[in-house]
Amino acid sequence: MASPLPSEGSSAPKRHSRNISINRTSMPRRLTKGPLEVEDPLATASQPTQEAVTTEASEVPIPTTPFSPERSSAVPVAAPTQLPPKDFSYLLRPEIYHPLSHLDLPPPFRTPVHQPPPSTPLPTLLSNHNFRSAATASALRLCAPPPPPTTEIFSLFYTRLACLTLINHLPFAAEESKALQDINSPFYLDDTTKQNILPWELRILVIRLQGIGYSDEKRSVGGYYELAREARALIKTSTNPEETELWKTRLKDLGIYVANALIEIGDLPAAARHLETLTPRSPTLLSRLALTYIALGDLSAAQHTLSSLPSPSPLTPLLTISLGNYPLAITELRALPPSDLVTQNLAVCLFYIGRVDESVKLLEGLVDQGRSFHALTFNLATVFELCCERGRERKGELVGRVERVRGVGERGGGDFKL
Amino acid sequence: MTRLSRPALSQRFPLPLPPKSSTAYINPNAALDLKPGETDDEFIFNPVLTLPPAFGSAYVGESFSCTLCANNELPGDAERHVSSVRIEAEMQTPSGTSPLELRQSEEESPSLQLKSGESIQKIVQFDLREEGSHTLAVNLSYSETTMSKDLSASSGRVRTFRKLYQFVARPCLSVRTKVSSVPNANTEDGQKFLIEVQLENLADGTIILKAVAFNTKPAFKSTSLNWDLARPDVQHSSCPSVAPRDVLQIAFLVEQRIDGPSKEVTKDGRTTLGQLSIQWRSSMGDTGFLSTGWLTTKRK
Repeated sequence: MASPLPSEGSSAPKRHSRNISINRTSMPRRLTKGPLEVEDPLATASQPTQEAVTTEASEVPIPTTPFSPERSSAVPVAAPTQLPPKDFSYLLRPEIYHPLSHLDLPPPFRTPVHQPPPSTPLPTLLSNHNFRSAATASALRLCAPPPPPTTEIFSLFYTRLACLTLINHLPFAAEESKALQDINSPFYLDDTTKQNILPWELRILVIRLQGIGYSDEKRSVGGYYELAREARALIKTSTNPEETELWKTRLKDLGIYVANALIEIGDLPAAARHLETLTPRSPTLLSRLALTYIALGDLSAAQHTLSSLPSPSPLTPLLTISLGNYPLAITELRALPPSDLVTQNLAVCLFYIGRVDESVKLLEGLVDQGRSFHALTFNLATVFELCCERGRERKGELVGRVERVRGVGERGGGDFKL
Repeated sequence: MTRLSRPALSQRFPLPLPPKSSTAYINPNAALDLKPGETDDEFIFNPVLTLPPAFGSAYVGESFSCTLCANNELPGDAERHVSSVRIEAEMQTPSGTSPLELRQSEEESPSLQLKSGESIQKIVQFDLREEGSHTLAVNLSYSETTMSKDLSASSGRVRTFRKLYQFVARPCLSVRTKVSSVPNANTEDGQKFLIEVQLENLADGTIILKAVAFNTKPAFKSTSLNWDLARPDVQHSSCPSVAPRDVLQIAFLVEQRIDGPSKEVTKDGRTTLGQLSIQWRSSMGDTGFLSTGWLTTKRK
């Protein structure tokens, strides 16, 4: 997939790329003067370096996405009537990207095993769950010369934002997502296909992050609706059955994203109303609806929804808990097929009826089996706070136990209430 | 002490992922120790419960519940032993102090020796009825016995200590009422009144109104003019939700019973009609209950 730019031509697109943002809309805060504005000497001086690194970079597989129309269009520079290639260098400014410190991490997760150097190849970092290093690595690659090819810019930008959300740096991700500005701007449309060139997953992610970044809660809901409109239009116009299916799936996903966004902004009644309108009313959808009702506290609606699900539903004990009947919930949980999640919910119920010792035993048992999901460590930390003066010490021990589990990603202080 | 609001559902906004074939593909679940199929990866809520993270806000009308834990923090090889642990609790409200009943699981016996590292957990419940500062006072007493090396008891004494936990109960619902007599009501049928009520949610979260009722004095009967107005066909989604700062208006028709008992009239000539009771649930099913004072007609 990696196709290096012809070395002779590499200076030409660079000169073109200085014709910035002719057709880009709504781009405030552009630098009026910058390194690219400086006279020729700099451009010619930087040329050899760029060539050298370009060839080197060509050996590394470039992450690509299904949307890669920009790569080929960069080659035929000779045609004078061709529109100049779009300039995405505004995503390559180091000041966009926040430096990440390790200070917010529990000490056991600051070791090189969990934080390998960002020079490690990105796919390795991702597959080893070293998301903090991957976030740094992707920002470094974006900011270091030579500028990555367009598709790689977007892929790196996605990796950066995705990793930041995974390491609980949502505010940073939200702030950095603003650099893309209006993702539905015509600037992001491919000149020939007129489709948006940003990877789908990046658009979905950025809609949520920009909503947070601009402190405009409802923005994300509107953003998903806008994508849904686009998906509907493409389902109608597309002639390729595969593509039609793809857009149908995406449209369906967007329906759930709207519900997620409404729940995230705290409007659970609206989320419930929205989920009620979705079709088909599959067991999955009904489960999601029931969970929303339970979270909202509309228990009669939850009961009604659960009654149309096959029983015993794993959600029935949750409703019983919401009704405050913990002993019955314990009986119901014990009747379900055993699983780690059932055990963890059982431990929570035991805590509510005053059997903290049993509760701790169950939770610690799961940790001993190598489990370390958030609810488990969080609940165990909460119980430690209650039932020992040395709560902090016990939590520290817990961090150590989780850290030693093979293949586990980094955990933040919030996972252990530290 | 930990407050026992209802446990919460795990919440995690799904991360949109590139196709699995992409080099940018991330498997967040593996990193977070979630096995395939364990959770719904596309939905923000998951049926995994978490304990209440913090004390949160306490509201008037809520049923307050918390758990108290007494722990033996002595090292395992200590010569001192702890037994006969007694926990007592009382709630100090702006108007007075009331003792609290402590519940514990049936398996524990109070005289049991509390071994090193063990805990006794009790649960208390209290209906918050007043606005303002509340203090939960916990008294703990236990016998401490010092054992000599050959395990023959040598000396013992009773120790006590007291811990105080303070919090403020804020109003959850503001209730404004207006009583008006229905004009042109046939005097032979007795008087008719309209009770209009505005409920404002002063809490930080959305509440679901479970039931509202106007409980009349024997001389009257009331009819709800609200969502629960005799519509057996509507089974769900019928309970209204009230978002923070939202106001919901409800109304009741109050009619004098024909041949009913005589009206109760106050000294200043107002007729006592009845009182309003409201039941609600907040997030995850936590309950609340409120009833107003006696509502009367205007003075004649």
